[in-house]
Amino acid sequence: MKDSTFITLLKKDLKIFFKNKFFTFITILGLVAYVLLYFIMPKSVDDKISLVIFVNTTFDKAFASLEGEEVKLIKARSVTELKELVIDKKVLAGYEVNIDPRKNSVDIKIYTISSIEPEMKEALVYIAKEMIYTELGYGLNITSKNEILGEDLAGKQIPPSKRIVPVFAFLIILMETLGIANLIADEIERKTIYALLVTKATIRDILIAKGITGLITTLIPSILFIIITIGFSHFIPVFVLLLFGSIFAISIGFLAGSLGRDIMSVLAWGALILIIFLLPAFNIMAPGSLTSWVKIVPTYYFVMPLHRIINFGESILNLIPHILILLLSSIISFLAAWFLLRRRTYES
Amino acid sequence: MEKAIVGENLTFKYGNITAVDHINIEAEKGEIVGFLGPNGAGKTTTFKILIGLLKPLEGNAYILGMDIRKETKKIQSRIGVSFEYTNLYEELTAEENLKIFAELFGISDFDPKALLKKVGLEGKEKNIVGTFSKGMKQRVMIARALVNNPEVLFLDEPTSGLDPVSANEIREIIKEEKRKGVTIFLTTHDMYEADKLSDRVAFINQGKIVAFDTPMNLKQKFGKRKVKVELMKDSKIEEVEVELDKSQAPDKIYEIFKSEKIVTIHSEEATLEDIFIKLTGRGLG
Repeated sequence: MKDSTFITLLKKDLKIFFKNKFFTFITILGLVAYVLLYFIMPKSVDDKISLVIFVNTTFDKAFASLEGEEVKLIKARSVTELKELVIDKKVLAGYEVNIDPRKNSVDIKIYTISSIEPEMKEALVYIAKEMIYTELGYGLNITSKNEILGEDLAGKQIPPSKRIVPVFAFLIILMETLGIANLIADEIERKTIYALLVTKATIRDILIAKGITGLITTLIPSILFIIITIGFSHFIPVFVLLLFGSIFAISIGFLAGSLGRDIMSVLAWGALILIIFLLPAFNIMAPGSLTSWVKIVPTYYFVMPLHRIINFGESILNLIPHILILLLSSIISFLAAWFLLRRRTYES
Repeated sequence: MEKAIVGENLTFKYGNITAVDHINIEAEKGEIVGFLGPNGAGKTTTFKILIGLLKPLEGNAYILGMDIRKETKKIQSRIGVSFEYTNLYEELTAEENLKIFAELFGISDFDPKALLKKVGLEGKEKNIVGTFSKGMKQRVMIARALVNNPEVLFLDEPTSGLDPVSANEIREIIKEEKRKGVTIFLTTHDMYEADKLSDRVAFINQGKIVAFDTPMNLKQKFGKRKVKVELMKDSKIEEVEVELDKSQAPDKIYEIFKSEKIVTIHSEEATLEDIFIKLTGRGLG
């Protein structure tokens, strides 16, 4: 591809993208809305700890002693109910307590939705010991173990505003998919693609120019959002992920644009794809809400690494397999779009 | 004379349907070739093959002596194409539309104003194309096809759906390009337009070329020359036709004139549409 061809196509695409007031408006509105939501959301977590307990004896004294304290204890009728409360995030942790006075022992199983830090585990064991001492009036030999329900994340509590950052960055990128799809579909529907193809431009040139347009419209707002909300912490790995995420979104935009017969069908395809691709984001807001099947959705390999980097400071090196899966999905999607576009332009 | 367009044995199928069936077509340099046929006859498919948008299943095409399969982009930089449908960037101005294509052709000293003036759109350079009438959009399409000073111009139904004034103006632009020595491949189902503009016309029907010659030769070969006379007979007008190519024509005409009852008399020649119907059994509409 000659530079002049590419620059001309790029200038044209950017001009046409920003002439479309709707997509320009949505892009800016999205950025403003996500930034506003970030600042509106709580910056701290509730200090009162809610716990649930299932115990094989009465536990009234312990309950009475906790009144007015910073620990709220709920009594479960069964282990199943206890687990449900933990999975639904209605409590921080659940205790399954088995007191055996004859053996002078207590077994405690602590249920959490993600692995917890040693300090927190110690604190939970300490709370349990205190409750048992209060209830029985004497100490027993206590053994405890931790069981994780749902997906195992690092387990530290993250303020909702920080938890939402990767989700919103992901949404900013994903929403641009429709804009990119529209650029392609518009070129096909208006048949301007044929006029371009009888110049020096090829389908590859057209796709690359649109890809760069897409990269500008996805990457810049998402980077701006990240800088406004969390500053420059973990900037390079976040940037790398946003770049790969944008490439993926562009490839999906290309695919939706190449599949649709007109703008409306592109929107229909786009909406369908977006709904599926949004699912992994729910897992961040509500860990454990989706089972492992969500891993078949390619965006999982974008939004989860982003979450881990932003909220847990995980090294990008640990996330290379995720990025490779994302890249592979992008390549497959690009090839499918290129194939479809060639078929639609040269064979129809 | 050197040939600007040569299509040899061109064949194309959409699935099982043969759209273009082993056709041969050519145009000398500076010639206008009209490509006539009803909708679905294979005109646009042939057009797309010749401009390099479709690869023929069989046969080959040569434009300006170059193989369309091998030197597609080289050929496309020396031809101009105006499509049947309006495919402009409607949110951009007329000038912006032309500049994009001038840049794509690598033309650095492009003057959009001069080109728009040539097609009768002087003063409309900064207007958004979406606000233009169909005739004005068609002129922008023609202007776009002329951006790279093409040696061969491919025009697919350039006057389709236009009012007579706009259609005539487009025809004048086509004639001017011919005067400059540009070869023009004109796809149309308007037999009047083909007759007026073309040096030679090719009739295509069901993917096959059924005739390819000058309009005059086609009329002589397949048409009937006749005289239509209205006679007053018993206070009523009666119509009589005399076929001029028949041996008894002079005697019959003599008798008619002798009767002194002629009301009107007209000579008639066959139209291209008559010939097309004769050759294919169907009309062009």
